[in-house]
Amino acid sequence: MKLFLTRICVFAVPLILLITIMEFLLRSIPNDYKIKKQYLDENADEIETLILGNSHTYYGLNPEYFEANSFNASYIAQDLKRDHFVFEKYIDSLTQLKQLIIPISYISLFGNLESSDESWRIKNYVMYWEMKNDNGLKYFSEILTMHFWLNLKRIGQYYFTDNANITSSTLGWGFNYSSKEKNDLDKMGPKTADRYTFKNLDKFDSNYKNLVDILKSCKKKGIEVLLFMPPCDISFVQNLNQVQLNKSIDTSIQLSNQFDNCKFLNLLENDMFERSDFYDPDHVNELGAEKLSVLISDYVNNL
Amino acid sequence: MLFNSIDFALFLPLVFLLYWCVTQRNLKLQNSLIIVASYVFYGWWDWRFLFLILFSTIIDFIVGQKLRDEEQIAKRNLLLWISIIVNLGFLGFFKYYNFFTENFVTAFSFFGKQFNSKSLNVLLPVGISFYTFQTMSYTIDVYKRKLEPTNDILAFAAFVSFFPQLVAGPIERASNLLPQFFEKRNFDYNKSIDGLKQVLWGLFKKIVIADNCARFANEIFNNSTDYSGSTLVLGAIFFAFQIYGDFSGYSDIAIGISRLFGFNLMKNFDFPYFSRDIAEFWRRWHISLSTWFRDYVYIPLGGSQGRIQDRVRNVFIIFIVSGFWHGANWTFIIWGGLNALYFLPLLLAKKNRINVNQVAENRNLPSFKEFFQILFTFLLVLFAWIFFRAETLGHAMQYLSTIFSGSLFETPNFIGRKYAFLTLIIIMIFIGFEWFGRTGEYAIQNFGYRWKRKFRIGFYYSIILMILLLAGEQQEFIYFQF
Repeated sequence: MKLFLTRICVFAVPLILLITIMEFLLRSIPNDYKIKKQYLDENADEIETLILGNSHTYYGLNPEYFEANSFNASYIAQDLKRDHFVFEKYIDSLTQLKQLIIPISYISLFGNLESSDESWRIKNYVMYWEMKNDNGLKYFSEILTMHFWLNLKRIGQYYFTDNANITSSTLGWGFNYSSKEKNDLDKMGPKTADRYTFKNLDKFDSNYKNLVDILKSCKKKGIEVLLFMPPCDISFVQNLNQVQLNKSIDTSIQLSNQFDNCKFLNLLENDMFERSDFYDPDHVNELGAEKLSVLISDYVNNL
Repeated sequence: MLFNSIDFALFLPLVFLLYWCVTQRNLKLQNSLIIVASYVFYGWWDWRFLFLILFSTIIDFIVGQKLRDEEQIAKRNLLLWISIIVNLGFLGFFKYYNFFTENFVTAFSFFGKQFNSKSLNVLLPVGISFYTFQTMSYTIDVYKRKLEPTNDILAFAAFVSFFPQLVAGPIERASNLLPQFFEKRNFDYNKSIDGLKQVLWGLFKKIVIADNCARFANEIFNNSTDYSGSTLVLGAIFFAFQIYGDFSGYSDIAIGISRLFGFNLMKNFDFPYFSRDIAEFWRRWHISLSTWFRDYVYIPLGGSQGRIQDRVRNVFIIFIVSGFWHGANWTFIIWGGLNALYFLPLLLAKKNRINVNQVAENRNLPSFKEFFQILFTFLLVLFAWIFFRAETLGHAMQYLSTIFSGSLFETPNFIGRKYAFLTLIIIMIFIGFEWFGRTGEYAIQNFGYRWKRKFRIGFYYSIILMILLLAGEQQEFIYFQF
């Protein structure tokens, strides 16, 4: 038995060493989550307009076009649970906050990060935002949540070419959805709509609760909230499930009626946005982001 | 918890150290630790499932005790039926309630009768198809007086809940596994090293072969209306290796872990894709289940004795029940029926036992005849797998009609095609290892045994590196859904 344990330990030592070193190197790489958190830690008390949400606001709202001092704290696949967490984490520091912007897109009320293909991102909230982890031990680790090969690539890219794959601007907007990249919207639209359509709407209750809790907190602090449905391309809109879509809209209208500090703006089929404003069927590019940001900024200024 | 998860990676060494360093002196302690560890392992999915396995254990233990003292045939039959009804009752309710309800309603709707049926949102307890069959083998063997019932409730509970094979087999026979709980296990260095090697190979099959194949099998099957016949053929091949890598990989891990704890489990897969006919395939695929059905269903029905119509009936019963065991869907029943159709000609021509030796015995390569036999058998199995994987019968028919259309001769084109080509190369290398290792319990068992230790260690590191670099996106074990 002693011989067995000794030999196993000797065999395992190089592997454990490799994993430990890789974990350390990965955690030292700058990433969008760390950058956003650092900005909030240092500047929360100056922010007047805060943007939460998923990739629809991450790529869609550029704080540079906002009149007020704004920050985009949204990120790819960030769900309402994580929006609630981020907001509550900084609510006491956001002393100047007047407006909060949250997208209610087609999926917002029916999906969550845990059950999506992007669930690996949970580790970023656990490790870099200090969010409580009740999803499993692997989310305490970089190396256990992403493919080994991808992690090697990340290490190589950062430590040998100084590329940390940062896609956020200083104010948190995602700048890499470029209008120069032409995607076939007609081909992608139906597939994207199908991918975002849920057979089971069982996550609605928990998402609704998170949203209501945010609204209640804002009401206490006198913060105006704008819920908005982001613009999407016709190829996507035409293929949406009406039950899921109507429930999203009706819920948003109901909340705007229930909370006097809440307004809902439906931009899903807004004719201000042309096909050239979209990077893909449900995300705008930088041209669309400029239009959307100005529109939203004007709207919230009049709240 | 999954075998390829961080939770299990922490759980296993802890249990291993406690087993050999703390409880090693005492048999009762050893068995108690097995029970505690197994219940923790099983409860990790959902603690509510533990009541089912506990209830099943208690019922079958008591039935065994009563059968020892009971001589009256009627009462013995009653005791046996209690065990069967409890175990199959659990299985029937959790697995088949909705299937029977929906089909009952559909059947009556043909006669113009409408029923308001209530489908239940029933959570299927992981492993229920496996441990219920395992405990039934105990009561049936005791009933037939092939096995003495045990008085040792700890040993029996450990046998029922033994965590390496609890959720996806092998389905052990009480006559093989239960006696191993009556004697204190002593640490065996060679057995443990062999066990670890088998675990490593099982992880390779699951993480590299199965999970990579799953990506393409899922893409092609889930979007089969978008793809050509040639692509769908590739999809079926990917599924064939997904299910083999997944299930045999799990069995390897289960058997390997059992060896670490001093237990010998039965072989569950014996390189089935090298079979020369369908009868040989069914002697090599999911051996624990096929022998269970043979011993407890097929032979009591008369087996291959009696009139032709009886033999035909028995073959259909056994394969269809086997299909139904896999899931509450007509696709599994058709899959079973197809395999019965494949098997029958061999049985009736008395050619079902002509390929019982190792293929290409004492030779490196198969003969041309053997090669074509292997290929033909694989194609038959592949055809049937389409039904096994399809969501519905309609889906399977659409899949097959596309394969047998002009688009069969188009160049395959699907999402991830380039990476699929790499996966096919990995599969070819894997087949090579399996072929040259086919005389062992698992492919790499005898690989490099003549090498110097440092080269063997280097080989094991290579496999670990391949697992890390070539890992597919993590998928749950297919057989967990059964």
